[in-house]
Amino acid sequence: MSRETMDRLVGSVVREVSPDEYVVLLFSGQELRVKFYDNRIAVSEREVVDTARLYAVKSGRHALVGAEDMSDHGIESAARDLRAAIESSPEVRRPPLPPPSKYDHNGDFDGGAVDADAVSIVEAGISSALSSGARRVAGVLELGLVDVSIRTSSGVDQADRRSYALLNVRAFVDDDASGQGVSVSTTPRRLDPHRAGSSAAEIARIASKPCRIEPGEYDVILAPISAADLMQHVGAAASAYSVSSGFSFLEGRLGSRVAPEWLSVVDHGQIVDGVGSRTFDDEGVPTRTNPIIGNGVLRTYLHNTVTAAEFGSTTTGNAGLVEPGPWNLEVSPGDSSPEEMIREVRRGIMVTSNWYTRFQNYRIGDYSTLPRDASPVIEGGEVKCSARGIRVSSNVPRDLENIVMASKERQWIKWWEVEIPVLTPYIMVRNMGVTSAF
Amino acid sequence: MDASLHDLADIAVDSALRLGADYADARVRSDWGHRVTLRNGSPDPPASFSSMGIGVRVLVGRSMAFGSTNRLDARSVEELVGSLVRIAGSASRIGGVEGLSREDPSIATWRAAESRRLEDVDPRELLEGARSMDSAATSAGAEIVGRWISMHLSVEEKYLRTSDGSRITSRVPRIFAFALLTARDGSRVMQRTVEIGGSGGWELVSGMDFPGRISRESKDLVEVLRKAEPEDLSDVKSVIVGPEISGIMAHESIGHPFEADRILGREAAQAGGSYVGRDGLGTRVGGPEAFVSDDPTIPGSYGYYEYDEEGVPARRKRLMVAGTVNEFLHDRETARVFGVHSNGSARSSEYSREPIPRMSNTFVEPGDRTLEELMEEAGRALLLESYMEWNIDDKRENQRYVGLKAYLVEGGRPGKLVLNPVLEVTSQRLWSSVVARGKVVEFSPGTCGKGEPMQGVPVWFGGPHMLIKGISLGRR
Repeated sequence: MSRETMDRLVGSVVREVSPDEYVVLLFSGQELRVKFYDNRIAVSEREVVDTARLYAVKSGRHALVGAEDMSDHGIESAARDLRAAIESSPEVRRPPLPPPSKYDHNGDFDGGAVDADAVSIVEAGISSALSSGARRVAGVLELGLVDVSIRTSSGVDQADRRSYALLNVRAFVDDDASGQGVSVSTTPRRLDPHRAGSSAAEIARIASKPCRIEPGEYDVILAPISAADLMQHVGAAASAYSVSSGFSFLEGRLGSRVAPEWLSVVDHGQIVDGVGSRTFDDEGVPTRTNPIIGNGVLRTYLHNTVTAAEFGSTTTGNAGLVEPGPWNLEVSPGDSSPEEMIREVRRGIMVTSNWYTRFQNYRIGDYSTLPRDASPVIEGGEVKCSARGIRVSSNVPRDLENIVMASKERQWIKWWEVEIPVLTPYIMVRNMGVTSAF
Repeated sequence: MDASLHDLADIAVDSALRLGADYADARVRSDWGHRVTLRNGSPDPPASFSSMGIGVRVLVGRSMAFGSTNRLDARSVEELVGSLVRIAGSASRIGGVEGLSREDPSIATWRAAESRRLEDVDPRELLEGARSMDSAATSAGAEIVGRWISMHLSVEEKYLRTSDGSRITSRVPRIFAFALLTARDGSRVMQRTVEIGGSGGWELVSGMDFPGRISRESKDLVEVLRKAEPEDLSDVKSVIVGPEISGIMAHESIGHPFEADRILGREAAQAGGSYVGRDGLGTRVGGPEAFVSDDPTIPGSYGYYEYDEEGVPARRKRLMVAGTVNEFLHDRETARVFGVHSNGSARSSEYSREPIPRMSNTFVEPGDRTLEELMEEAGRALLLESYMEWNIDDKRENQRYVGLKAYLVEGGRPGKLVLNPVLEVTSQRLWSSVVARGKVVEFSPGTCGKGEPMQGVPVWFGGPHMLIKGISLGRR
């Protein structure tokens, strides 16, 4: 199906546009989702979708079309849209599309991902949470397959198959005491619904001992779900498109120390259990591993060929036909356990999950975010209670500089609030601002 | 949309019933759009998109299944329906759906008013629109060092069929503009996001005055950059919030927690719950001046619709009346649980997303004051006209707005500009402290996020100037 559809897409673009250059990307996806709450299934969902992206350049003018109708009529219509958009586009200079290269496929793929027994996985997550003390359990399971293929006028002709399995569980021991567990893999066989469910309930039990804390500066341990949120913003800010658009707090800091020397944040085009993995980017360049922060120093922005030309650099294999971006982020581990990190805190909190991160200023990096579920309050190295009603108000560049510890243990995170997959340890940040409306 | 595609929705529903479903609905939907973006005056490639597909929902016993495909032939649709009935059956041992509320079927065709179809607009006109905004920003001062400006046109066409007799055909064109402006003076950097949008044809553009709005916003940003200073606000206990902020407050702390699926816990793992309980109708969350409505039927609004995604006629919902919880936002599934009729709040963002209770155009109802009267009444106060950072917790209690254009009000007049004031307040405290409202309601567009996978739907939020007394302020 995909190859035949690709032939029709390319043929239509060539006939309709007669382009000097083109890129055609085709995504064929299947997903099985189960959403649950109150220990019951709310809805089971199945999605089958083919999506194409058509990009072409003609006489210095370029345009991009996204299309989901793969009928002959739909493809012809998309090609006409592409021609019309090109004709209306001003002339721009852009580098030529890159030629084919050597592609190494990491075969981390499970073709049976969407055939797994989804209901049993959900039941395992729910029952583990219930047996660990939860009263109500909610969440979602997503199992998917996506075939990606690319053909370009420069001779790239490649295909890639990927699978993913994502489980998010939120357990409640009462209306105001919840905890979250996440399991992420490229195959449902490596999902751990038992651990996701039980850890969600264990966190929820901590939340059942609420307390208020005074606003001020605290040492904060970000558990993996929250550390991943912080780091996804670092990854997004590393996109050269973000930098040139005024969206990045990393602007002007290439080559500068931005984090402690032991800390690295690396983007991987392909990595085992990295559910954002791809063999090639949207320009047909092989993906690779790029250290964004290496030993504390900002090493590179993430580029496609267009932003690379703007910055006098070379592509990093992170296209996006318009915006380059990260595939899978890995944060280097530390040498402590979470328990050792807690013992190091004289006055602080742990943020087990958070949501609604919003920036006052993307360029400066001022933001606030809301801890969710349990936020253990730590005094003298011991957990006392769970802070309720707090908000973290801080600045990402300052947070990066103030990271002082990380755990050996790491976890893959991707869920509703964290769109870029991140493999991260617990990290401890000194002197984060904490406020409250209560 | 080709009328023959309607047949696919009919095939899906008939096939589901034949296979044993107790209820089924299907929507064939096409979306088309075109977007231009300027980065500091340089165009990104113009981008068009189009999608067409079918979303089908089946209820088997207590088990609901939803599925979608863009393979639009009878065989693919029947295969999809077959798989949905099977997965609904396999999930039945822990299916949690009580059923749907009984509603009168609707047969209707509706469309947002349009004189000039967006598909007929030359993309060069759109680019010129973006360029006029870019020029307006640059002419506001050399301090405007960053401009990221985009304009979008989109058209949504739909045919809905339900197994209990509804057949609805609809068309909504929409226009949306977005700007992120960055101003710099030495080491001081400030940013402002501007959004403008509505439903209708190209004729909307002249009334929206994109360049005029960007010019005003850019000048305001430069003025704040040059003049705003930190201020001790510890003795300021009154705030007048402008329409942009009263609107986002209504959306975040009344609209969302009044969504019935959140109240039931259906969004507990994602967009969160609510501070309102299942038995919350009739309870007080605000004072006698607190009035909030949601109304999809406002002509030209960004959240406009006449029938919802389940065929239920749209109508205004008065969510909070004089501080009392008056009505929740329901789809047919939540209405059944609450033993009421749906009030037409089911929406989905695209053919591949299930319908769930959503807001449309949520606003604080107008009062009887002028801004001058509110400032007279406020005493020493902060006039908070715009914001950048905002957020709220997952039960919709603890919210915060960091002001951008904010004046200290003394003697009934706005005085000096205040740098980065912070209003951080609970929903109950906020709505209990509203003492007066202005006469003039203004709206802002936004894309409201909820559901899993994420569904962004177009909404307006709005309100008048609103005087809030007896609360504390801080600063960043």
